Amino acid sequence: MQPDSYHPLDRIAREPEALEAFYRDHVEAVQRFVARRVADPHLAADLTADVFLAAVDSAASYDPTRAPVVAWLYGVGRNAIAAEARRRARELHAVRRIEGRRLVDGAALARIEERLDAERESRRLHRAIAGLPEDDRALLELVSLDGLSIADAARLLGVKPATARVRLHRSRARVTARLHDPEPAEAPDRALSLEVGP
Amino acid sequence: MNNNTLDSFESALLAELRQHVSEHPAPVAAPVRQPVRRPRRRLRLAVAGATGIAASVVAVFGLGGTGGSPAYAVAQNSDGDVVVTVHRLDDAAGLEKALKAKGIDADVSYDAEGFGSTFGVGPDGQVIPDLPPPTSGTGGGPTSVEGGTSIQGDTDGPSLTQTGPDGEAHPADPDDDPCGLGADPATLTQQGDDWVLTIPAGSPLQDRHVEIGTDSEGALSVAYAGDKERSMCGMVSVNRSPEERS
Repeated sequence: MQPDSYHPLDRIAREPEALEAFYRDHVEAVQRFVARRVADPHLAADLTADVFLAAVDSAASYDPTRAPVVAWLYGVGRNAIAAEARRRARELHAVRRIEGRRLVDGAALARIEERLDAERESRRLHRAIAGLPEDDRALLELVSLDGLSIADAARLLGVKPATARVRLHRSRARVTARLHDPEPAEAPDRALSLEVGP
Repeated sequence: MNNNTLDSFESALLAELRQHVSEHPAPVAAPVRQPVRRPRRRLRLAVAGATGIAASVVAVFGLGGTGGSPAYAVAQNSDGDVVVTVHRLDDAAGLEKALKAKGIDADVSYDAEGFGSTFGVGPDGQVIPDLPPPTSGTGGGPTSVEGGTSIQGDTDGPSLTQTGPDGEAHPADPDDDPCGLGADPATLTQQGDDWVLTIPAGSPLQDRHVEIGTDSEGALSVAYAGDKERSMCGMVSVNRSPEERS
């Protein structure tokens, strides 16, 4: 299959073959993206399914002139995780179209947990970022946590690269100070609502 | 394509996703780019004119026989007023540094596509330039301004112009001051080919973040957050007439 076998991207919402190519290219990145934000393996499995479903639902809105696919996918992922955080805050139980945790068996669980272990430091950073104003936080998350370029993250969030650089500089100083504060041990159940705001 | 082996979870999820798309395929309708819904607190403004003009204006000033001369001057009067004279839209970083030396935290950018046609205000009152252009209404005045303050190019002369909820533009005055910064925190005028920005001593702009850039027609503009919640203020220099541009 060609590397661009799922372009234009809206094909993934219609053609299982295009969806599969897209999925294979991005499934590791999405799982790591999730693992940088939540500590619970079952929730991570659910959210991985949520992010791909959200990508299928909004594939028609992807504009290749604005950002690379992976940047767009991280934007979709942030929204999907924020939606889950809002549901939890209101104590609503999500009825999922695909329940990721149901698909996890022993061997897969071990792999998910490995990934979660590997991203422990990232989650610590993510918690430190959580106290920033929302716009600054989104920017720092996408650049420092998820590795997007400043230009891509700025485009995704609709700000000028120069402005993004100024804000990143300011945010990094604040987060560095916060990382040096002692913090309590990771609390998986509270982690999501702490880590992801509305 | 990535041929990494999927584990049991990844394979099962792929199968579910494939099934989902087979059973509920999206309609083949022409790809509609969905407009991004902006938060209401972001005020928007459209300035007339094609964006291409900005680039041509920059080129005229950049090459117009002023080769080695400085692009700007920053001076401080004995009474504390800071006077910025912009000769050419060039060396944005140098101007930023010069302003910093006077204690003014400014972000300067003359990118043709940079902040100019649209602005917004973030949740903390910070100015967010460079929103995507509104999908409709590329006419002269502000469009889609959802109440409050906007930046508007004044066709009669450079001035701080504010738009009330009634949509009518009127000059700033202390009794009706949506920015909460007083009537004239700064002035922006055009003198010949130069723009002159004066920030008086004691002006609130001397201690807040200021964005200096160009509007979509290549005129100098200045934006900053107001003191009142979600207010956004600024100035756009008078646009050049088409004869002057050519």
